[in-house]
Amino acid sequence: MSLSVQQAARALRSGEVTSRQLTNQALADIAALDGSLESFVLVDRTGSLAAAERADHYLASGGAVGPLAGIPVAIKDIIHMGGHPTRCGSPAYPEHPADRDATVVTRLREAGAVIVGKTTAHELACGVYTPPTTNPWDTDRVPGGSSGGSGAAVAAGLVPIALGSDTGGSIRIPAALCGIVGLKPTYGRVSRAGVEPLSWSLDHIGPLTATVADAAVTLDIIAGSDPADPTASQLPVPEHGSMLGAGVEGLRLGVLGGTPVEPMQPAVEDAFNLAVDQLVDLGAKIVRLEIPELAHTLAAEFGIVAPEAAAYHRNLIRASPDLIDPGIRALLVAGLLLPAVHYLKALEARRVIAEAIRREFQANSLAALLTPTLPATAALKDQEEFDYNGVIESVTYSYVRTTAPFNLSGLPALSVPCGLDPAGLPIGLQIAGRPFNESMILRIGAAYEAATDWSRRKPPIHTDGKAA
Amino acid sequence: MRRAGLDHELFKPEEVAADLTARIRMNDTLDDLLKRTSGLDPTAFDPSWQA
Repeated sequence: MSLSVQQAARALRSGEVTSRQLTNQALADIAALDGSLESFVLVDRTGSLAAAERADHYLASGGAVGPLAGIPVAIKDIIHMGGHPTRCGSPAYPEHPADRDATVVTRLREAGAVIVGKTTAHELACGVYTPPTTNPWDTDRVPGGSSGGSGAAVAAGLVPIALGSDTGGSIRIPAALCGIVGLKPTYGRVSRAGVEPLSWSLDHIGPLTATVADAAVTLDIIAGSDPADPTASQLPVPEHGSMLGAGVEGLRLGVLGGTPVEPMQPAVEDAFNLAVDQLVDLGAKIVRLEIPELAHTLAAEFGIVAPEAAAYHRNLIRASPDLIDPGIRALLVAGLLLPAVHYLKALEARRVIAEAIRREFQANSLAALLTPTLPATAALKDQEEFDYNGVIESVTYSYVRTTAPFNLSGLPALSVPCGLDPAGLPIGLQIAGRPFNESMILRIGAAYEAATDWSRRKPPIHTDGKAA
Repeated sequence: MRRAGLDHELFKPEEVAADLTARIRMNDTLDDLLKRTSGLDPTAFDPSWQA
């Protein structure tokens, strides 16, 4: 399905197409392309066609319908979907079905969405490779992770929306590597009830979509307070798409340099600089700045993830360590054995980092902060390191160092496509904003998206071309 | 490790020790960042309670 949500919604309301047709098309596209992509772990043919019938009934009745009425969507397989198992990308997870939907799934269903299936997650949502999923831009390369199935599915046009989770970049990483839009909302903006945690103080739920407008409408639906999740904010939810056409004229945008943005691949640097120039052409004011405290991003991030993940998976690591990937097993063991002082130091560092970002927003009257989403494009599936002109860094650290500052600070961050490298691999522009001001970063992303054609580029494996 | 319930044959004490050493070294880099802070204050009430 290559229609955006807005296009599909218009076609559904006009009677030009039915939800059953859209759903059948999505199911056929998945059957045709997902054999090579492996972006889905579950396709709910029966449930989705029944939901499509209900949507068609409501649409035909002419009454009020939800904004996603009849639209096929997918969810990452760490999010509970009643009646189906939640496997978390792990052989250690039980086969028995979840007894209820996660809050975000309930909200999607109430908005009329048709959930066609569940997408591949990196094991325990703890990794950036998401095997066995393939990047639709290059079948030898990773889609990113941990929401890699969601990224590949949207990039290939199988669904226009897929939900993901983001603990250190797990929505924005696959969005950038697959050439689509990914939104990590503010911590607390979206309920996590019914979602398997990785690191509860860093976990966020958000959409991966083909366009910025689709991300805005999805956030409208899934955001808001939830009695089942005490961390979900009570703040009212605005209409996030209401300012998408407002442009960036006069907005002050910070351009982050130094660590942790550098080093980066030359093609990423070129694309990012060009994106900044284009925003200037659109009327934005640029403030170049560095935040030295962000040099400690990785130490703080992993100092928190290890003990929190170990606390949640403490029984699994003791009972079935043989069912856990060695790298993740080492993280969980460290979380169990390291003294509490290391966790407390990381929590304190996180507060310092968040305060440093706030200081720059306030001092420079910033509407948003810009970085390349990632310093490198999609790695090969067996690649372990990047070489930045002699500086060697693991793929995982490379992909997390630019995204994790906004997990540590809880600030909203959006990735939009901003270029292709010489090998034809996507590059992302990250736009981070003030707490609960997703509307602003979506507005900036929409202005950039409208001024360029990067979001309209399609990968070799796509429903438009159907190459697989 | 045994007292922590990590007695599976997969756990190699030497490998675990090396991994922990690396993580401790990474965590210790935070000392520079934290030398001017006074610690978390978990007893402070969030200002939103005043609203």
